[in-house]
Amino acid sequence: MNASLQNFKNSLQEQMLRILWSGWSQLGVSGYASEDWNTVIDVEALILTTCFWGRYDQRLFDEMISWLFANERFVNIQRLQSMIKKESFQEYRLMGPVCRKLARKKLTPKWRGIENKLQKLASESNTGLFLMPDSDPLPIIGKTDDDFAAFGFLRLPFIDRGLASSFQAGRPATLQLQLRAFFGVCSRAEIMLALIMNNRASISQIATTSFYSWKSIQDALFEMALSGLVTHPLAKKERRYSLVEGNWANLFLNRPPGPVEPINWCKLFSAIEILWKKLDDKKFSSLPSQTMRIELASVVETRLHNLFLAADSRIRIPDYAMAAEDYLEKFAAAVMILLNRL
Amino acid sequence: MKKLNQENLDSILIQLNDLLGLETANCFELIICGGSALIALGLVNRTTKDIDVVARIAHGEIIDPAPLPEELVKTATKLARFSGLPADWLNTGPADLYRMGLPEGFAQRLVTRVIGANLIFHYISRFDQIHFKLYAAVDRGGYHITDLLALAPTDEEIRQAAKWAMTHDVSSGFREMLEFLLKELGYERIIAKL
Repeated sequence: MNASLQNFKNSLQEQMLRILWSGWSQLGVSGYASEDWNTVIDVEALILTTCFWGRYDQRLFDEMISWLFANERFVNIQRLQSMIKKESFQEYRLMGPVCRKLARKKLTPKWRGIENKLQKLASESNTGLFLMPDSDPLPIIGKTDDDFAAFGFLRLPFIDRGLASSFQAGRPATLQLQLRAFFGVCSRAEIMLALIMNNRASISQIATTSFYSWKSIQDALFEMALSGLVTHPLAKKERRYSLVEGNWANLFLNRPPGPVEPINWCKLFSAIEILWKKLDDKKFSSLPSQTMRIELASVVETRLHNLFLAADSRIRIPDYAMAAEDYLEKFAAAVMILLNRL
Repeated sequence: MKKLNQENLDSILIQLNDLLGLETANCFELIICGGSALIALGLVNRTTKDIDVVARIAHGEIIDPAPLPEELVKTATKLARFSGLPADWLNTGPADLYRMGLPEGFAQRLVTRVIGANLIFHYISRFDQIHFKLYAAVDRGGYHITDLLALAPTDEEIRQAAKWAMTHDVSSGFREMLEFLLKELGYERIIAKL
């Protein structure tokens, strides 16, 4: 395999696992030195991408399930399902057995519906759940987990180590969860998040990032405006809503954080998963260098460019014509710079 | 805009084959005429901006080339976008030649090149090039005349090509122009045999 491609793959996998461990640890997962990000973690996006990357790290995947056992009431199931429908997460089917585990706990009934939907999509043939770094399945010796096997994934029985704790209040990373704890798991919590993060936001902006319908957001904003704490100009055209003056972020964040960095995790994680699938494709990796560059440039242009820009506008994706023979290396550098910031 | 020539034609076709392999397991068989076929068979040393697909072969049968299969169009577009080739570098412009009838024995004279697992090119023979080029030379002149002369056709080849061309355009106007061209090119003696 092309050495630059192998290096890129290794770095990408390493960075994604680091980011996910760091993200989860800030939400209360044990086992990783917790950092303190100045950005708000999108819990549903984190769950869905952990279904993808967790296949390369069993401990990460299992700690996510343990965290869900402890904190599942703060997960927005409606948002999770909309994200599965609208975005490009590659391993959402793995939520099936996770939902079954959660439903068995009888914590809240909300997991049963999505479990049933995903059961219909379950593969009839079995595949090993956990993978080696080169994506070959890890061998399984001994009894397998029935809940996972029912969805076509083979693994040793899941054991809840029970080490996950509740998330810490006051940190930017947990702002979404804090708002859900305060307002409930509902559109209003997502509206507050959008208004705190953006100062001003239109209905369609909030609907896009919250994954609620335009109508739901409109109705909720109408009622919230009656409180006098949400304002908007009289003109209806391009109306943008904001919170009345006051440092709302300080209500939830301990320290003066500076501006919280706006990262669209959903777009970022989707983009990285699509990219990884391409880099990990054996046919792709066996292409001659020039053909590989053309294919990569095409995937970047047609599928990744807009996702990356929506994720973080600071990314500088190289121009194919300018980068020429160094395209792979320059593109890899741009992605790694983006991930290293996190 | 990049042009195709003897140096880069093979590598571009191999790229097309390799990129196709990412999209499909199907193998596409195309029958190629025009400048790229002349270049590939070493009949003329020049450049061309496109590859003309006159027909396709599917399940052993020669069929209409249009529309080209979706995967092929998508992949050719991708290659054009990132290789500096014209957007229509792989096209079915000469499809009418197939629709109006190919020269007798056409299939047996094809020269086959397996580009890879997903792509096979069948180049039309020198004899059939003479047919197509004579027809195009009467119709459009220009570089088709240059190509025709470069093929150095014999009297008999020109006679057969002219007879075939007249089946494609039966108008008296076409015959007049054909006779004029044959005179200009030094094949006046053929006219009486048509």
